[in-house]
Amino acid sequence: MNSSEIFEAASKSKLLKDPYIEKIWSLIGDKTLFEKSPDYLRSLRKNLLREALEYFSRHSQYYRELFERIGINPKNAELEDLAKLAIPSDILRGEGHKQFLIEDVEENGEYFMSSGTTSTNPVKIYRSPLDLAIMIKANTQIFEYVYGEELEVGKGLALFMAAPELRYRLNFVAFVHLALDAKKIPLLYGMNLREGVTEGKPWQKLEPNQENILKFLRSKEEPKLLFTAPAGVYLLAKKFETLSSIRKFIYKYFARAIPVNLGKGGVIVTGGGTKGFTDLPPYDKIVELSRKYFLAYKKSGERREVPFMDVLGMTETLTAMIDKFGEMDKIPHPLSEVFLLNPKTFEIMDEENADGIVGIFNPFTTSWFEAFYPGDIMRQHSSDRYYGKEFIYVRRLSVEEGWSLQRACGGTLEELMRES
Amino acid sequence: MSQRFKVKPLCSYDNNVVEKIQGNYSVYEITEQSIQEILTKGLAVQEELSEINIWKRLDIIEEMGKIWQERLNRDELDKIKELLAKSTGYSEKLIEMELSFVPLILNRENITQNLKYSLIVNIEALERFIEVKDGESLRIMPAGPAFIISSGNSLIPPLIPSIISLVTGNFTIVKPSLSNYAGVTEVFKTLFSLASINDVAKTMADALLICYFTHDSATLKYLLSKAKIGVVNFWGGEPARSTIAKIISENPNHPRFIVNGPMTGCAIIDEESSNEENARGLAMNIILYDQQLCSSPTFAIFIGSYESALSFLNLVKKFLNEIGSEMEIQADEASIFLTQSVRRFLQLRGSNIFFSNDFKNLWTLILSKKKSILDQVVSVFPAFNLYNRKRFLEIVVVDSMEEALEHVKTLPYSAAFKGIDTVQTIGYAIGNEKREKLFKELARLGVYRIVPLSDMYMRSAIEPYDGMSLPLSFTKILYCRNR
Repeated sequence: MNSSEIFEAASKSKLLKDPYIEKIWSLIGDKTLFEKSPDYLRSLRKNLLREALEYFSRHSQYYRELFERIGINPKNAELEDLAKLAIPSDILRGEGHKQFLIEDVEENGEYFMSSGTTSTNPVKIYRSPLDLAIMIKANTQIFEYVYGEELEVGKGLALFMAAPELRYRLNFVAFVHLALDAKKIPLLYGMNLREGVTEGKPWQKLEPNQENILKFLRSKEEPKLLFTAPAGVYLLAKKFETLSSIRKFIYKYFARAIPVNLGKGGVIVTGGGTKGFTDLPPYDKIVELSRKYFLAYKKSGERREVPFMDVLGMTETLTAMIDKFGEMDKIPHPLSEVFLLNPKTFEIMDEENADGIVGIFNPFTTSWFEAFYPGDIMRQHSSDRYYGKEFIYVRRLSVEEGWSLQRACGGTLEELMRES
Repeated sequence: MSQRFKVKPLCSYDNNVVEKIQGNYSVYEITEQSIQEILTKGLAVQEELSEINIWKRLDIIEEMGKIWQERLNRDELDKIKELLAKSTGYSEKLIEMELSFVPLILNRENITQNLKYSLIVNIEALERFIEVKDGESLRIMPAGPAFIISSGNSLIPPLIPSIISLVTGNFTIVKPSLSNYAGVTEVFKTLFSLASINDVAKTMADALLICYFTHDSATLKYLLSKAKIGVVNFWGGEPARSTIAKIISENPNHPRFIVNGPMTGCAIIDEESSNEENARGLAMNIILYDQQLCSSPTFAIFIGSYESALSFLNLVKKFLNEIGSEMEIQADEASIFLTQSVRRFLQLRGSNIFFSNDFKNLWTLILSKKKSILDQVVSVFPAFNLYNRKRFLEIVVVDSMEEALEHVKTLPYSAAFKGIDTVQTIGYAIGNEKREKLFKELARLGVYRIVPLSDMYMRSAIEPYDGMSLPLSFTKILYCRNR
């Protein structure tokens, strides 16, 4: 489906007749949310939490029983209750998401899967047409807020260093594809899936689409938006760095490739994590190196360092958290409740600059109660912006499988010999 | 940067080493050439040791135990205690308990009992021919040199085969794990201190080499594939076990390959025995070594009503809180995250789950009807395997002994227990009249130990090891007919 088809299908959703979804649909189109105070939004989200619990009780016996079993009353639920309700994302691997879908979930949506970086059994999430429409709206708004201005309809050109097939598999690719489609901004895919390769992760089967890359590099459209995994821009910059002076000359004057001019409003947007590259330098070093080979300009025509935005968009979240390097750390959509859990007690923590397990609740997702924790440690700090807080990604939590030296004995023969 | 712990060989011989960095450890590994030279001398020492009076050998071991006890009494082992707590992740209280077990392992009477019940002849056959029938004699000779590859955190497991191997006259090479290396060498330093004042101790010390070898070590490969070794005793699981087996198969000296693979324990409780004493015993065995012993209960079966099981479980909870708070668990953030995620999964499923939120005593109990839910748990959380499940027990309630036995039978084949060879220990709390039937059926199922629930971790001096006699594994029996 393209964005028009998604909005068309969403507009026919029977769920829009539910007062809660009606409210959500109205709120999700409200750009003034980004101008509200943190207190206003906190209060709004608390009400949405209670209304969402009631909505899911109405539409799912599973949730009705669950809320009762764990002692949550939708009418007086508090933020702290999210600590009890959030599910570990691992539960969503394979067909795990099915059990959480409401009984009258609407068909003809799309499935997204995690990339499989952390497990061979990916997280798989169903998105109904209505959820997809909400996804487009919400992500466009948060993107534009962090970007600093609205993307003009039909203006500019985007390159995504991914293969077009991934639009129907990976959330991040779909985020970008559908948001740009809704804005009628052409999107080129800079990679192709290699034919005949069936093994490995999707990005391990990619090869560059030279034609599209060159088309993007040479284009005089403005703004030029480059979407890539951090490794993609790093490897590209690294390649430029190591070119011989003759090849640099050729690239510069014949291919008009380097430095890459992204024009007025040009931006590099990274996302999708490390994709298994273990030897990547820190993000600031990637930015530093890349800025040598990418140019961007302000609207006024004044040259500026190319802006870098980074998107944290897990498969299981309908909206992303986005940051802008040097300007703001990761910020969620105003309606998303992002909270940190104390890694030892699993209670919600509110301390400044403290590291905790990030949890996300998206009250605008209509098909399931989207409250989860993916297993990442983030740090929160206060902010003057609408959310009142910003977040920094710290690390992923993972426990190794397999043999552990914690085993007390190699096979047996442990303990003591009792005195006979 | 914190200072690296130095893992140096302990032996009587001059040797050349190469230094290798392994995480927080600097490993000083004996070179292939040095090990060849040491082995040549070791074979001569083995001959000498096997001629020495067995009681004198046992006296030396007993003396080591006394020295250890004195050092314990004088708090001289506090530093080792701290070091081992750090390297193993166990609480100091548990390490303290382990250190107190060492004199029992070195106890003359205990070892004598073990030899007596393992060998088919008077243990003096370890030093000379013993006539067993008219003109027919048996002599027990060391089968070594023996190479003991021991894994794990606990200090005790590497000590037992090492002592048995040494006492039975073998030139003994011990490779402990990095985490228990300091403890193992500390115990044997007492032998080297005795060696300066006692000839028998000197010979025994000359017959011992403790060294760590990295996985890619040329010396390790030499020892396994070429060296004149008689016995390789490997403690551990896959994939190392198969890798080592393959290398050993190439050794022209055809050493015996004695494997002590990973196993686990299972508790069986019936309604009439669901009292406070057994609840305490179960809790104690869950807490000890955080269920990482091969005898630790990692699964339990309750024969009786669900309500009785619930009452029993409430008692176990009480003791888990009491005992567990005395022996704090050293769980890292990732492990806590995993445990909490599993709990959430079980709660969402509507399982009857009980837990502590004290992150220093993070126990979890599940009560299931008839069927285990553990396979489902590990299918969602593959990292929550047997080795990462600590202070975690599922109790399945069944109606009959037959159902209980079916669980024991299928346990080694379930995904939740992937990697174990079999159920090593059954800890029972069963009424007297049912025991005979239970023991008989368990014998058919191939378990190795059947012991009272509260005794699961306790090993008697006469016990065999996973169905075999360890002294026999380290020896060969010579037959002589004098007519």
